[in-house]
Amino acid sequence: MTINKIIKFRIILFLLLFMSVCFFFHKAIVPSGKIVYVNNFEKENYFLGKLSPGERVAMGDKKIENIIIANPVYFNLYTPRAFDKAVLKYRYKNICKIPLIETGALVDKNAWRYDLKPVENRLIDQLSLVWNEIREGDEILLVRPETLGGEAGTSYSNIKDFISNPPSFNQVAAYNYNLNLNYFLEDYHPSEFATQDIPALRGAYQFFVYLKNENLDLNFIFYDLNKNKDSDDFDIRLYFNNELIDFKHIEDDGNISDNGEFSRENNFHVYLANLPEGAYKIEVKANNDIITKTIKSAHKKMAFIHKLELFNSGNQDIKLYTDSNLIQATTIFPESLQTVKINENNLDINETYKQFEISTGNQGTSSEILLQKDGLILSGDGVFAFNPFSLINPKIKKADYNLDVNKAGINYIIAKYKTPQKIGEWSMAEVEIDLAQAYRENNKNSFIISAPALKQKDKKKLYFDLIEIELNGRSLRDKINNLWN
Amino acid sequence: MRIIAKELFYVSGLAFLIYFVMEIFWPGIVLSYVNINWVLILWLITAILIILLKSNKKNGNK
Repeated sequence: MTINKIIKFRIILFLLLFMSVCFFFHKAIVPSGKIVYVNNFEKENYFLGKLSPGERVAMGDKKIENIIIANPVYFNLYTPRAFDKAVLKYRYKNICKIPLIETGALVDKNAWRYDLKPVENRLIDQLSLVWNEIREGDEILLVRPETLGGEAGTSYSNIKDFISNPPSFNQVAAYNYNLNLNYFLEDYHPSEFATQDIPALRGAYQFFVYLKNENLDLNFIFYDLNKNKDSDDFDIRLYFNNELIDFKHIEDDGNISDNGEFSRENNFHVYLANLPEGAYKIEVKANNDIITKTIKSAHKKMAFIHKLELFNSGNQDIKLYTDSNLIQATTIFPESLQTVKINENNLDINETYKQFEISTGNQGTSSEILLQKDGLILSGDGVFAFNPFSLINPKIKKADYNLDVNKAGINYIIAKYKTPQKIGEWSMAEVEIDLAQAYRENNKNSFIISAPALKQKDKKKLYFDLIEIELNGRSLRDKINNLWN
Repeated sequence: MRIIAKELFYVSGLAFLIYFVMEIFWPGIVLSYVNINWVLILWLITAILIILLKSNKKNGNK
């Protein structure tokens, strides 16, 4: 071999090495700000993880588990850099006619909250065939046919009309739509005495209070269990019409170990004057080490939203009231196993770490829940209160499979929803997700596929053929321009 | 043959080192496309070849 040939050979080899390094750098930096990851369930994908947990998925005709048999399932997306937006594309087969499929990214790890977006909502799909439909892009307004020209001549020609001149609160259901309708209680008078005495709650929770010619006045008593490592800081947030209007941050007790030494009790007074009439949402954003020993307040209306965990402190015979149609209960404490009485029905909680549920058939009515003891996590699609007269639900009814539009007297449904495209027996859905708000750890985003009606015991299945994620973020040029500006 | 093995030895060694460093900074960025083990195997084979061919050459000279 002549020296010339050796040099040529060396140049070719180093050129190949250089090109491969450039290729990997390109994949790592994504200079265009756009990249697509595909999981077709034929080959393991490093970036787009498998559906998990294993017991909720099954093997189909692919090489990797692609059938969902129980709800919910998760998958991770590893990206070498951060992106602002993701467009998820699912090709799936819903032969069991599962009424609601949603997906989303994890936004709050402490509260284990995923920001859910619609994949398929069969209630809206079916109603759009029989009700009058106004569709403007992704926005849909469904109007019950007999309502047209009915109530005070409210026939809407477009969605803007509907927003500017909405019907009464009780007639409207919404899905994936931020609709602010004024919620006022007629014949409401503030109470002069302390009417609320909430038992010990664990971790995060949210509740509504109603104010009219009164000041927001809440007395919390908190303490820290110190059972988990890390600092146990927490926040109390106040919202009005979905907007944050006040915020308090409470520092950890100084003990960041997991020695289980309870901190001393801390009183925390939330007081705000001159607030306009309406329903306010208070959110306590805390981890499971934080116990709210009690909340004392004089507010007549006070209802906990969707979920509350009653701390295992030995309380017995606790009565709650809810407007939820579907109630779920779980316990992690063997001593809290019990039979929960809901109206005339019994719900046996006879296993720890297992979720039990019951349908109350509530559509605008309320149910009484009688707990033998605390230590339960209660959740539902409505609100929970400790007094029957405290129930208040200023949330617009959610238009999903739990809603009986006839029983609930719903005449209008407004939604932001794209009906999945049908290709034979396969459906193709496209969902846009804001990744800028999503929780990211070790370069990974966690996603959920939620189909609440999919239960293992029902032997229903949801087949997936393809998951494609198109990511969009700032390009290298934008980043360089930002550095200069 | 020995020259080819030598050239491949240097390039595969350098490639392994670069890929290894890239994997530290961006886990999976190389492994998801190329199995680095094959690069390491190529490096080892070329190293063995160089040694074998060198000893053959010495024996031939004797």
